[in-house]
Amino acid sequence: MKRLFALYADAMDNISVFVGQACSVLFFACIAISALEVVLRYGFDAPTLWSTELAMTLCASAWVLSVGYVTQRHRHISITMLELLVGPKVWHIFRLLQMVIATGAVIALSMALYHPATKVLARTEYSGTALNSMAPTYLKVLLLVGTIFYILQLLANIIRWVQGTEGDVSGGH
Amino acid sequence: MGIEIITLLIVISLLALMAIGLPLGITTLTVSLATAVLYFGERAGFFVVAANVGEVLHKYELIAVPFFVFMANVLERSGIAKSMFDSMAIMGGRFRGSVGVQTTFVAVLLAAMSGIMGGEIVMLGLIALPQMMRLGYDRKLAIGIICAAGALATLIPPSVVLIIYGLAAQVSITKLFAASAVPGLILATLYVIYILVRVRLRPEMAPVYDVPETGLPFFQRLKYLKGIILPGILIGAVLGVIYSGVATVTEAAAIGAVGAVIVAGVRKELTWVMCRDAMRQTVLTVGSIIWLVIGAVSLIGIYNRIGGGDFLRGVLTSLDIGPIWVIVVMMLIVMVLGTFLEWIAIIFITVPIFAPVVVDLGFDPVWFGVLFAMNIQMYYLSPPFGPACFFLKSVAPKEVTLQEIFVAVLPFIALQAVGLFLVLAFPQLALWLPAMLD
Repeated sequence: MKRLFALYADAMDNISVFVGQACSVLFFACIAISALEVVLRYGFDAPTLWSTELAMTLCASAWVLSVGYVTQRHRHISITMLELLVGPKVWHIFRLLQMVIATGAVIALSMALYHPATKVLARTEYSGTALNSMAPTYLKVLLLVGTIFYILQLLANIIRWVQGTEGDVSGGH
Repeated sequence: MGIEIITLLIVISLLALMAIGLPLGITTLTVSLATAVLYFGERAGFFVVAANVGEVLHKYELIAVPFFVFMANVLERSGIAKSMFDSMAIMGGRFRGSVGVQTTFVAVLLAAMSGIMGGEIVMLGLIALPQMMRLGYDRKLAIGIICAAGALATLIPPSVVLIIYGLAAQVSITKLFAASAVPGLILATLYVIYILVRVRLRPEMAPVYDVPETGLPFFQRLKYLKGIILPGILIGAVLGVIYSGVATVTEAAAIGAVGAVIVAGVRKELTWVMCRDAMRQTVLTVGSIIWLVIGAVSLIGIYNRIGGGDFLRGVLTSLDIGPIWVIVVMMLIVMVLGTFLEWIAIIFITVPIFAPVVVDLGFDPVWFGVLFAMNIQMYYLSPPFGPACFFLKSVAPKEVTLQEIFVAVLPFIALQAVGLFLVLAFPQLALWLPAMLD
């Protein structure tokens, strides 16, 4: 069983890193699209209908889906001043507490996001702009996927805490 | 339960969760979820939270943040800061304190290129600090200059702090950028005056930096300006399109990011590894920022719905003091929050409450935004968390302690307070440029 959990943690870490690093390309695409819009608008008098919504959607995807990568690398912003006061042993316990509370909070958030996500899947929402894209539908589902991703990586981090295989944990949980 | 008690419970919960090290975004999210469920019940509470959180991804201006972060990451890796510093060293000529003054100028240029504070202090810490220490500069003076000048990025456009403020207060980011330019330059001028006065009074604090090229006639030294030509074009492009209204802030940020890549290419420093690392660092930075935004937006959304916003606005407007003192009280609240909260959370939690009060009192929210950014700048330097000090510590030689850095920045915090007072007392310092651009 211990080996199985370790395998899960390894697999989840790899997935998070892969997805997170892949997301970085989305930011680059987003930058290129936004810059292209300016060139098309002023250079060729041909503004697009799609650049704003596409840039927002790509950026949102990178933001939300990179959560596993950020969590795996312990890069969430937190205050660790108490560590100096309570010492490393107590702080180690606090770290588990942080991860358990965070998991509970993100599960609650995913429950909150579940209904809106299933609702838009049953009846597609459109942006109502000139492009009238499905961005609202996509973003609601994306947020739910992001929270699930977050929970899965937090569970991997908890496994690492229990098995004593955590790496550098100087950042957040 | 009255709103006063709920407010108190929220504050206590936030402090307790933050104290155990829970990430700030999750802290505010947890408290907002608990408040929503306890107040509205599970079904309605979840609905409200989902609605608030969903709004975050629809904020178009917010995507300027990863663009500027990427731009800063590319510039940080391109060695452009070193070239600027070298050019300034030769152009500045021979005078006591010249390296300190040059560092301030380079910091202003770096701030105008990226709007991100952390990378700037790291760059200056790697380039200017060793130089000043090697020349025998007073260590505290050198440290203070780097932290204070590096923190100018919070104020000088295109500051990311102002982008977030503009979103939270729903005011024009372009106007905020115009309004913050002069106060930013005033602060830089105060730093330069301080450096020159200090080294004049105590010459041993800053030996004269002498490289052969500084002895050349001024016109012969002009060729060394090439180190700042590319950065100058980049600054002109980004701020030019913003101020002229040619493009949105987000598009200007995209132009800046593309421009940074081109600059790195022209300097023959553009490699796939460099781009890849810059993109990965961008993901890690903004990936943590978005959860701060989600948590803070969720919390303030719930708090407003249960009447907390009205309650706090009522408390502020019923204070038996003049309107300007209400602004001072708000600034003090921001300062106190700055001792334990991240600036993004501070903005999203306080600005939706403060901004309507500012307007009700007859003040301009753009002016308040500049004060806010100046206040955040002071928080960047102030103990116990002053992020600028931690950034410098991460790249400073081992013998430089955190305590020494905190002591070194104290005179500069005083100068920031002077700057804040000037803009508070004379709002036109901030407002004349946006009015002129209108």
